[in-house]
Amino acid sequence: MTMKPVKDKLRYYKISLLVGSIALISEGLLMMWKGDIDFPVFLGLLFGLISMTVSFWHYIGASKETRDERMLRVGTYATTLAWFSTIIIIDFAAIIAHYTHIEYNGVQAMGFALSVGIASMLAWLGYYSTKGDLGLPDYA
Amino acid sequence: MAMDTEKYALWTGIALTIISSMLLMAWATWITFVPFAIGVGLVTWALYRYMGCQAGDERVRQITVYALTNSWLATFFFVAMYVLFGVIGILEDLTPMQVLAMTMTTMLLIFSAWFAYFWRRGDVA
Repeated sequence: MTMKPVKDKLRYYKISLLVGSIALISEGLLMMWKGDIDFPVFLGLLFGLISMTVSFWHYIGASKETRDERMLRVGTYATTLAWFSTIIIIDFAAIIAHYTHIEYNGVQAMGFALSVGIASMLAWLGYYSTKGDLGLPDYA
Repeated sequence: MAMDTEKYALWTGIALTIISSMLLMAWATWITFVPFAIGVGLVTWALYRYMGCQAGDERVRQITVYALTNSWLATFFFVAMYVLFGVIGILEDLTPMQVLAMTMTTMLLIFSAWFAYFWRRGDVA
């Protein structure tokens, strides 16, 4: 029995993470566009969620087979900053939408939160993956 | 001493944000927006300091980073559950403000639970 090299496995996890993230962003945008949810949208969301979360821990090197300290740091930093970005963007979106009287419903708001959360994670992950040094932040 | 300031700021911020989010769901006005913004500001400041390892404690930084990562992932499972509510027609009855406040409350509650869990646990590796 031949074992697949870690590099190959990482490629699969990366593809799975990207496919899941794209599915989630698409579902979020679809919710924003239609302003309505049906069962296929929920199934698409569930597929994206499972695909993303299953591969996420492997991709960032948190599992035994893909253990990688640098990627673990990249992944946790990226999601941490995605958490900050999401909460701040949602905060501003709520305030702006309230005071500018933009017409939208609860489903569109949920789609917005979903798309922003995933897109910010991908953006931070891309940024930290290409950045060379990942020492402690200078703001300490 | 510095750690205490951040700890109080974090828990005060979380409490303030959650309470004002509840109020925002029913009554969206600047009186509820102000404590909400202050709460988010306090949480962000405290976590920023923790992540920057202000007190020179690597463990606290690890706790913060892992709690936020787990919270971020778990939030999407809750979002999926809310979408399921939408399929059965509950989400459409909610206003956008209620949905956004509900999402933020979910994020903060999950983070608080993970943070408290990791804080009590000795090893974060």
